[in-house]
Amino acid sequence: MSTSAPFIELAGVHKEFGNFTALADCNLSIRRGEFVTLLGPSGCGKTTTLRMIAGFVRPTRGTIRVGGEILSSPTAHVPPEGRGMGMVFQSYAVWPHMTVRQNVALPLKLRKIARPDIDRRVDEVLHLCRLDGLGDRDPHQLSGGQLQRVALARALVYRPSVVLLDEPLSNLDVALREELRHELASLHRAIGATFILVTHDQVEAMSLSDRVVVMKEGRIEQIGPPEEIYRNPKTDFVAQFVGAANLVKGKVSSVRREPAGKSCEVRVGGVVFPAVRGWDGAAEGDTVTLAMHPESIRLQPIGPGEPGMGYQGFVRGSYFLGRTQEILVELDGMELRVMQVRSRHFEIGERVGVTIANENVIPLVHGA
Amino acid sequence: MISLSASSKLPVSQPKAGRFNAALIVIAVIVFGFVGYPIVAGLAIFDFGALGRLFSAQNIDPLINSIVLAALAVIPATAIGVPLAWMVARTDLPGRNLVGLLVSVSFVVPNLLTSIAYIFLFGKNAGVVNAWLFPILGGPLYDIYSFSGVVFLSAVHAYPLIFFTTLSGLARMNPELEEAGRICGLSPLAIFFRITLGAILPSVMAGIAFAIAETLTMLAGPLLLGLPVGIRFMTTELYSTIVMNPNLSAAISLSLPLVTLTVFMLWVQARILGGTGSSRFAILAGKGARSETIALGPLRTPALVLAWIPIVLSLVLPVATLLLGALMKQWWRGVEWDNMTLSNFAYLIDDPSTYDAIRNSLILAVGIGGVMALLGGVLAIVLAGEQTSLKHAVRQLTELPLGIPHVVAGVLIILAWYGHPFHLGGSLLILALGYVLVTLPYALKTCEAARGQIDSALGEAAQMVGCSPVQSWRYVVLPLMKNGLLTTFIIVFLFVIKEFSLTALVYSSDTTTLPVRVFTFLEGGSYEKTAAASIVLLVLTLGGLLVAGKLFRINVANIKV
Ligand SMILES: Nc1ncnc2c1ncn2[C@@H]1O[C@H](COP(=O)(O)OP(=O)(O)O)[C@@H](O)[C@H]1O
Ligand SMILES: [Mg+2]
Repeated sequence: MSTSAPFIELAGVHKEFGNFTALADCNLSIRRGEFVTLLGPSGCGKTTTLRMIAGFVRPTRGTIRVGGEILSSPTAHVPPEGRGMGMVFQSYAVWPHMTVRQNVALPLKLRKIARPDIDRRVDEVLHLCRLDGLGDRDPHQLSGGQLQRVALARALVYRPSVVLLDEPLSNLDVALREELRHELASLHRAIGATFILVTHDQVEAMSLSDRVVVMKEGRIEQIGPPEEIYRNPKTDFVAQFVGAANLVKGKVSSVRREPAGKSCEVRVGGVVFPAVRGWDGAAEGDTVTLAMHPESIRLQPIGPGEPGMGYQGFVRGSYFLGRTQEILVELDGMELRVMQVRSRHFEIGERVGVTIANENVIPLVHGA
Repeated sequence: MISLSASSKLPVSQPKAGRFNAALIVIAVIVFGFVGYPIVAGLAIFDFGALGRLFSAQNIDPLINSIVLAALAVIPATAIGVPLAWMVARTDLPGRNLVGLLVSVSFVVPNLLTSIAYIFLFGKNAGVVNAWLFPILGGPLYDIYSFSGVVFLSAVHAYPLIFFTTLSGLARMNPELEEAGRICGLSPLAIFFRITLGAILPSVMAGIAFAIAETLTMLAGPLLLGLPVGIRFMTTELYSTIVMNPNLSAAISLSLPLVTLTVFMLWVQARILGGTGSSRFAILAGKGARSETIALGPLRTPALVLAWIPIVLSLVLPVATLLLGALMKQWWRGVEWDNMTLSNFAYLIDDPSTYDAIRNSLILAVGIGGVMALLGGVLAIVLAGEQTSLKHAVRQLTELPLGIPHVVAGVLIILAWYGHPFHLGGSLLILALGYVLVTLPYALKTCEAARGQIDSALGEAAQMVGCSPVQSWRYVVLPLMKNGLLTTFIIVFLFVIKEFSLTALVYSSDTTTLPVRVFTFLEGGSYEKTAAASIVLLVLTLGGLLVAGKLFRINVANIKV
């Protein structure tokens, strides 16, 4: 499906509004057919990036190429209508004075396609987006999820090679969001276009994307496949935003050489992490931040009078979340957030044994 | 299933920005011609010497009279408009929707007609009421030809303005503010005085400022009720200067205080409204539930009386008077069977100058309505988007006429178009140019409001699927603005149909309009025919309103002309 040559290429793309930098020197290559997600908190510049690709916003500096053709550069600018991309807007932007069919047919009408072909292709895409039988409805007669599908159908009907989606699911309620997430994934598989999705929801990003671009304050923090972003976050921000990880600061107390690289012993207060791997520039005495995902920490109840295993902590908070339980544990001055499948209820004040497998401790290196 | 193909891309010619700028420049030139040129023409002949004479002892009277008139008229207007708005918006006043509607309708009744109706009723000697009571009282009950008469008519015209602004203030007010008061145990009246009034004060003040500006610039009341008994106002001074012994230079100098006062009041209004965001009067836009209606309880009957008095005085009584007058052979004989006739209307049909006046009015109202809807729509589209200094200048120019009273606009129009080099005097076109001048800001405002309600993403979505800017207007923006354009048409139509202040200065014997014909009937002393012509004008005005409301489903309360 995807070849390795870049299809969409942002080179040094920079955008300033007045003297506010919305996107700082962004470099990004996207392969044909790839599903890429821009993930980050509100205000980090995702929409601005997407709208520069769409052609609504002109970069202050830098070049945007698609299929080798320059679309935006300091000297040239192809307007949105000349880019042939599809876009789903956050507010859906379904034209309220047209029926569903008219909404979806307009792009084809503009392309001077013959009436019977238009009808056929509209039916085809309405079916694809599960809107059969709704063609003659007015937009105000549709639910949020259906409007969303109309916006999608309208963006796909002219078979664009690039589809841009700006928070397409965030105006929907939870159940619908999940349903449409699955539909989006299968649509991408079915039509093979390049999808660029903007979202602040890491579940959406993780479950849909071939690669995730994590952004913060107008900068790209990390680019990679979802699993890599999750397992090997490069910065505190990525670890916290993507994996909701616990971060603790410690000191390297000793370094061992192993065939696969270095293994460090890291001390955080009185707690020792004996074998932290994945940091090859480590030296004794270095400061390091360790990231631990809440679900990779294990808690064992300790009966009264029992000595317990591993380190001992106290339960400081306990929250029922349905399938899982969130527990705040104090461990030698550290406060750790733990997620456990509900097997047993932990009570506030209870003593618990805390264990973390070595491979679940991720070193985050500063200034590297 | 759907394969990639080259069909997704449209051939697109490179940036259309050039063409767009050209459109903007054309619009700028048009707006300058309509607005800038008459103002420049006025400024060009401004005479500071004449300005000095203005403040001499004998000339200062009109200025003082106008200011006192405005100050006095807003007092009853506020005292009626504010509680009325509150009762309509918040209480269980029976028939409150009807009351609200009738206030809107009463505002559409031309001031000229209200003044005429009250002349019929309370003219010193010939007014029916005075005539009937003469044997008992030995004198008139009340003389409408007086300063207080002008104040009364101004108040009748002004109270709906304060009603509207108060109503919009109430609509924007977070109802939870009032509910918080109820939880604390305040009575409905205490809530009104202690909470609501404070929260809507800026809206009320803005309404008062606007009402003052309106009263200062009104011609009909002062001309019909003041001038005959020698009470002069700024507007009647201008009228006399143009109509009795034309002196444009003196008229321009006379205009200055009127323009200054108007601009000042509008500035005050904008200041109050613009500042509400951060001032201590901030009306927080809450998403709270619509507030529950407050039960009036035992206050219901007094409230009903209070609500209907202004409607009777401003609408029911004048309309009934004109209608009866139009159906009588001799209006002073009163309602007697053998005094009733349709001959007045028959006369109008046969009277060529009335026919011409009606035709002129309709041509102008429909024509200017259409032109302004088009111009306003184009302006709203062209001025949207990224603001450049040219767009800013065009907008400023478009809004300038807000500060120009109609009588002054009349003077400017005569200066600009009447004589050399355009020689439009005596043609309908010169009236049309005047109406364009004064309605331009309203047309832009209405169309921009319509434009503003269209989510920018709708236009962008059109571009995204391949629409050029022109196509995205055609397929998306213009259809969505349709209602706004219709509203503009109706607003301008109503405005032109009833316009009197400007027309009275500019019209010639070949270009009378219906309001002018009503006025000349009155001057000629044929009261029954005046009444009949008034009824025709009323039917056209209210008919326009009805069409707007029923056919186009335009919210009539939004139409304030
Ligand atoms: N047209 C604009 N003018 C000024 N600032 C803007 C404009 N568009 C976006 N910004 C600013 O740029 C930043 C990034 O915005 P955006 O791309 O919309 O963020 P996101 O989509 O990630 O929430 C925000 O701080 C926003 O206020
Ligand atoms: Mg955004």
